[in-house]
Amino acid sequence: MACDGRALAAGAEPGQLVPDAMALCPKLELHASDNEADRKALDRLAVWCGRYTPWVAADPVGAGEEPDGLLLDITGCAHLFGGETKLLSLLCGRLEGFGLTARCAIASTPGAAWACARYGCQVSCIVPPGEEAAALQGLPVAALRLGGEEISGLVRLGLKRVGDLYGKPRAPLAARFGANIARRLDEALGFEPEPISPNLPHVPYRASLAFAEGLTRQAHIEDAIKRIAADLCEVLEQERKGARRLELQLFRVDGEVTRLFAGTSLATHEASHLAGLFREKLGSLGDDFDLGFGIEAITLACLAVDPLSPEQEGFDKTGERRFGLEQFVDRVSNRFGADRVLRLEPRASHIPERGGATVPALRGITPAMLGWKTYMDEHRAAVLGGSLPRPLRLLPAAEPVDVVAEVPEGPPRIFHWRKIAHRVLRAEGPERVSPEWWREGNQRTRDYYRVEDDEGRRFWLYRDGLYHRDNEGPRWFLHGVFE
Amino acid sequence: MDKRALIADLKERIAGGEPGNAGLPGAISLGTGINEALPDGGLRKGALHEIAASAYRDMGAATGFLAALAVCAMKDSSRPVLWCEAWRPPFDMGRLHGPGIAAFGLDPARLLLAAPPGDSDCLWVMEEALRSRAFAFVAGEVDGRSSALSLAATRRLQLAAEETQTPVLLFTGHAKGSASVAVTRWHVAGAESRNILYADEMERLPGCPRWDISLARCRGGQPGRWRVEWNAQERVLSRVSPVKEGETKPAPAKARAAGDDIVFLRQTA
Repeated sequence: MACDGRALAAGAEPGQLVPDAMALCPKLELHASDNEADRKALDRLAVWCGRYTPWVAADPVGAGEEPDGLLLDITGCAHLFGGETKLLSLLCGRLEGFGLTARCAIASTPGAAWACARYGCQVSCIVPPGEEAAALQGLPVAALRLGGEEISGLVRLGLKRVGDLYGKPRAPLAARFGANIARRLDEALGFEPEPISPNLPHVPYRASLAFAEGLTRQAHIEDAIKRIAADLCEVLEQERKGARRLELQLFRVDGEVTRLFAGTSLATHEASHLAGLFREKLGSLGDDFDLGFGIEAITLACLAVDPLSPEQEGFDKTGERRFGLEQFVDRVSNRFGADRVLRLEPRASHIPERGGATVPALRGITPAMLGWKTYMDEHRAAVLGGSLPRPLRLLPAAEPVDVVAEVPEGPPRIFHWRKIAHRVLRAEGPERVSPEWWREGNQRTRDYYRVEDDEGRRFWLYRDGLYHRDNEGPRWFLHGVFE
Repeated sequence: MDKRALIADLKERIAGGEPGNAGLPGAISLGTGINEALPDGGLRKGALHEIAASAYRDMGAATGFLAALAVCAMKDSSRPVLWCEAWRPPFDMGRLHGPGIAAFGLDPARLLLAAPPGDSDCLWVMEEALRSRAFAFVAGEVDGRSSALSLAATRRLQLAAEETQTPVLLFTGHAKGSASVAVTRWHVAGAESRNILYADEMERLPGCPRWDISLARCRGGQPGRWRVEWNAQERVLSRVSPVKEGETKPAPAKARAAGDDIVFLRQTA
């Protein structure tokens, strides 16, 4: 059982059994715990804390069974907010504003901060460097992030305070409880390193901007993105890197964080282009994007970068057009999705519907696309008298047609497609396409015919199955429309 | 006739005799006989043009004509071509097929397909493509009945095309086009292809694709109707025997001149 401040005042205690608590305080309000939601809320809070430092992790160890805290590595960040004291009061104030009762502590080690936040101070405290031992001295041994058995064991031995463990011989303790106690003590006092692994992947480049007053207009946000993109690109340009994947975080005044992602097909450090990508994103969000009471901070991070060799600008005006295609692809892909701008890739299959594939144009020209050249050379030679072997348009699924043929294995004479009769004047075929035996499924041999009707329309039909081999007779399908 | 005039005359005749002559630099040549009917000596590059199928069944032919124009525009440029299809093809005639495009003579490696979710998005993508100056040719399929296809929308495309000297083609399906500022509007129908005969079997095979194209509207040009043939090997569009006015159906195959047919003689040992 967990309880809030008012319940505590009424006499309830965390970890107490519900009937006991009810006996102490009959007016107690009970809610079933939802660990999943708690964890999600904690993760959201971790993202929000990203504005103070990129190095945020949900604390893996909680006072209870579930994680209940956040660890922020503020090394090198505190001065941005006017020092540790100001950062702490700022953070506490904001959390209180969200309606959260937070206990915060700053210390040189995660262990000491953990102990002070949970067992030391009332609301917030700062442990000066080197004074961890003194700060922890009076705290109960539970403050060392130990398991329940270890705590009760130590208490039975009369070692109730952390200070009681100072200077005690290690070997007997280790023999009795394992090495954990000594390790936790060393971690808390800074004798042993304890890295924090952040929630977010390491971001090599980021820029952020905070505003005194929340931005409530989209135009202002777009301007701010432009500025922040310029900051980021300056760094990228110095390091000769180009951004490939970017994340934009918009921090709302009420603590909600909107995260937008964008990708580029070619590494770039052009600020106006990057800003443009997010403008498309914001535009495509439309009414779904709720500014709430305003945006108070923006962070733009490069999740992936590629080395970029410096390009010489052309002497003529054509130089500036060099990246026109990539920028177009980026803009459209980021507005509608990467699967909306495509390139065609050949596939080594004789089955027409598998003969080509579409790939996002964001990937640029893939090596497979060079295969088209071979394909074209081969097929140019195969064209007889100019008729073309494959149709320009292929139906998404072959459509069954009624066919009248002179001889069972011959080309169709009349066929009905989409309620219209077509009288075939010219036909070429069959071109036999056998199923790929290595694939699952009951596929049949197809005989393709190129036909032209009496009005000069050309179609691609096939007979599915062979007469002598398959039990059910062959059926006809229309698969494509020729030019 | 002095020498200079003679040379100019000869030059003109040589240029005119070539199928798919280069035409003027600012235009896509449609072949001799058709170029003359257009004010720019071909399809003006920095302009919006509209293509519609004469009937629902002629959608394939109209696609072919559009692709042929794309190939012609690609010839004198190294830039790629953009083809905007709506996400759900409005005409229900299938999507572009890579091997088919390759066989047609359009290099699929130089083709980008865009599939924006709606008609107005499609027009936006087309305008962006023009403004990017990255494409040699921009084609878009937007149903002619769509409300997105307004006078203002087409004017935007026209202005962008003029500014960037990139041809932009709107394929409006088989519907009657709405108000538009397009410089030309074409109606395309499939036409009987040249016969290919095997001498001993008299089996008739389809030949090079042929279309009847009619110029329905052209500022400063002469409306007309022509039969054209696409040669995928040479990648040229050329005019074949003219279609007479008022003739709805092409003449029956037998009545046509024997020279119009290709006959393959099967060699016997």
